[in-house]
Amino acid sequence: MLRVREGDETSFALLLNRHRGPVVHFLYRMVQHQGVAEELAQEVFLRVYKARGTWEPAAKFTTWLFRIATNLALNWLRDGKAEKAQDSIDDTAGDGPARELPDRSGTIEQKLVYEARLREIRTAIEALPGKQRAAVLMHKYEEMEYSQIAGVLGCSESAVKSLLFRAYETLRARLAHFVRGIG
Amino acid sequence: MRCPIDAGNEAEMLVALATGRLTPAEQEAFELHMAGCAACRQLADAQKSVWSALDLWKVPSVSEDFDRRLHARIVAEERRPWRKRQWAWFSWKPALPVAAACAALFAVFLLQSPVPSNNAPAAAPVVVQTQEDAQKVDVEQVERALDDIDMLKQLDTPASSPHRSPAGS
Repeated sequence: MLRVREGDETSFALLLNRHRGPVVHFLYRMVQHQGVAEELAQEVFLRVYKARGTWEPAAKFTTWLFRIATNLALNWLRDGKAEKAQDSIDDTAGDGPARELPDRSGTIEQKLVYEARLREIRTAIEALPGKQRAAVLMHKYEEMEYSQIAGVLGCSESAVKSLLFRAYETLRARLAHFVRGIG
Repeated sequence: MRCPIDAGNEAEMLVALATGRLTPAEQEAFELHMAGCAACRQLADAQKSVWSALDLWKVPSVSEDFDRRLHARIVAEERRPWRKRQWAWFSWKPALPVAAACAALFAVFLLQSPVPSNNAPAAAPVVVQTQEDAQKVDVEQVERALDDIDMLKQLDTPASSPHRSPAGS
């Protein structure tokens, strides 16, 4: 990022290459819509580019990057745009949950069971409050430490632990009826 | 090892166990404890199951034209006039409530502030109008009184009428 600040375009390309996937995937799990996730991710990198001249390495770059991404996602969720996006998922066949299914060999029955489980997981995550959702996604999929999640969410480590434990408690209750079969 | 449920740190232990962040010694102690504690064993199994369930959630790959679209946005952003870029942060959403609050404050200020200068010009025409009316009333009364005197004079002097009429002389 320091080289990007000096105007090095190649470094920005490297930075984009390294963080594009994690940011888009995090946003996808936050908003549960591929098109919206990519749009928000573009906004994240555009803001990074615009702020390159004034960026100070006070915090880890990833923390700053995910703070921007989390704020954009939480604003998007707060503004109630999720329902509109859900409508567009229904309207546009092929652009939505179906694309995330991995190409698995198996019977139709196995695929149906997998789809049902996936739907339950998505619903359980979607039902979590915004900050709990962000904390779980960063903890589980980005493998962030409590301190880094605290930096992203702008709260204390103990607050992050509290968010995570409440979220996992909810998930244990919501997913208990079918997760026993996974293994 | 003391039961984490009794100690009140079961959530932290469960998450650490599921994420593999316990030290080997901690893990061994916790597993020994779970062998004799059904409640902890049940919680740990549930947490591990949630962890495995979340692993199922794969995400689609990023669109191939993501970088191209981003660079197009960056170029468009840099071509925008300087003034527009400076105002890019501005949004009407928070500005409208602020404007409404300012208008309400201004209205309260207007209602509460004394307005002596307004009363004076308003009272002055009233006073002037009553004086004019009074003058009008006086003049009319005088005219009517003079008319009455004239009529009385005509009634009181019938004998003097020959002097007035040249036909009778």
